[in-house]
Amino acid sequence: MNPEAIVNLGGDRFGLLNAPDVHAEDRVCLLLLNAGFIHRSGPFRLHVRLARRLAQAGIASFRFDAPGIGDALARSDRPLLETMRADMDVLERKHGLRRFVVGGLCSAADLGWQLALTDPRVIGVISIDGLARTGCWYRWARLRRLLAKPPRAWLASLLRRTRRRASPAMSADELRDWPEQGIERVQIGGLVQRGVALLFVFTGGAGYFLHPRQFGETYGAASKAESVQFDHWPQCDHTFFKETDRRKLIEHLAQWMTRRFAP
Amino acid sequence: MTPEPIWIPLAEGRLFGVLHMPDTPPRGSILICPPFFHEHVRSQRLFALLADALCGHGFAVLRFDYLGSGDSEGADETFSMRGAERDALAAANWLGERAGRVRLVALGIRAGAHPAAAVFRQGKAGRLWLWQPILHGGAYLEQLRERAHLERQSSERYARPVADLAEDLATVMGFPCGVGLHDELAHAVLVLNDLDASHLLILDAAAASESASASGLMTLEEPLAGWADQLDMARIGLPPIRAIAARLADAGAVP
Repeated sequence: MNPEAIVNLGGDRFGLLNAPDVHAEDRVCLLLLNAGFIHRSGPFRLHVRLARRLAQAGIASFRFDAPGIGDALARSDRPLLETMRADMDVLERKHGLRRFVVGGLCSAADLGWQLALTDPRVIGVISIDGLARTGCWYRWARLRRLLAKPPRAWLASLLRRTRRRASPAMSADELRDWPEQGIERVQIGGLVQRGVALLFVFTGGAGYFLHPRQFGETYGAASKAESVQFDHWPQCDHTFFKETDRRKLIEHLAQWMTRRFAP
Repeated sequence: MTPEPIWIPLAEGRLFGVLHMPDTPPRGSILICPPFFHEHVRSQRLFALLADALCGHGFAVLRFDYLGSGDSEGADETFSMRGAERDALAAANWLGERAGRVRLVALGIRAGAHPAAAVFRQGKAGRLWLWQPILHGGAYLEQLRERAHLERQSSERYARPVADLAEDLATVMGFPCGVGLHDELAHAVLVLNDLDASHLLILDAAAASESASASGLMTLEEPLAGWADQLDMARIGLPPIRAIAARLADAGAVP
């Protein structure tokens, strides 16, 4: 197996390429995007471990920092999507990588989605706690949770809501880089038609995703396409704090990648 | 002074590091021994920016990840206190070769104080700077266990309580670890009062350090001191980082 290699992306930016010794023209590389402000090794070293697990299956991966995160010290005025596409150009030019799976956790899922829509080299997206709308199934799940609690908890919840009114908390839609409601159905339709494979995982840490039927409600008919896989893991938290959850995620992602893209 | 990512080869695997080298010959060199576990991840950006700022003052600065942590090779379970000392010594030797014949400062962050002190005691560094050092590993381990327990019970993290599995309980703040690490940490005690105080500098929140009397104390203002108690990612602005780098550069300039 080849050791991990440092790839210079220009300026103060670099990344680590884990490229197994596979010379197939159509080999695939997973781009591990930053989860929020966490640098390229990922929460609890998740990206490092996933990269090494994928390498065992003959799949390449690249972990790196977006401008202003981790070791990419300088911020950039350049649109992030442009920067990411330029990074893919570097990997294509220097290492012959032409097909990419993109995504990751939270903001990485959002960016991966946008990148897939923009760049035809993207053939797969991993979305962990990515876009979902809070429609009637969400409200139903919330009501069910509330009813399961004792009356004392209702009172506490009511008091919290009353206090919050002075400065309402921002919703997931407002905090995240999501398109206007309804656009995602058109977007996923386009990706499915293009043959892009999509893996969605929603954890119990995504407070906006409480019921598995929210997935179909959000993405419509395309959510049932063969190339789309959806998993709801309400017992896991958002950053996979428990080792058992993290190990399950790594294995799940590795098996999906292997099934879809192994040489 | 563009940071240069590097590998340091060891018999056990390669250490990943980032070298910040000034454009002119360095006036000194600084080896940053990072904190452990979640603190390593959370403070990565802070110390990348600090290294850059110190480099701006003419120092060659090396940051590195211990084997089994960060981007270095090795499974999580290979990380150990003894290994961290071995890695810090290897990194100090590597930096010495790159920076030339200038004085080396070992800067240990939190539990990274232990490998930094090993570098100093073995005569590889002329100065020892300790940033909010963990002196008593046993007490620290207890804090981490308590914190991890709270995290596993947190309703913010988990919608419904889930039984803890043995495999999860054996981790330190979520990080898997080898069988010996708990024992190593539990028995780790950093004694400083036998060191020449003129070579020692403690950076900590005001009046926070029991070791301050034995050394010089540089006070850290919020948020430079506050990040260690938080669980979210530290987002610290540049001005306080540049200010502490300027003060450290002055301290490093004293012969």
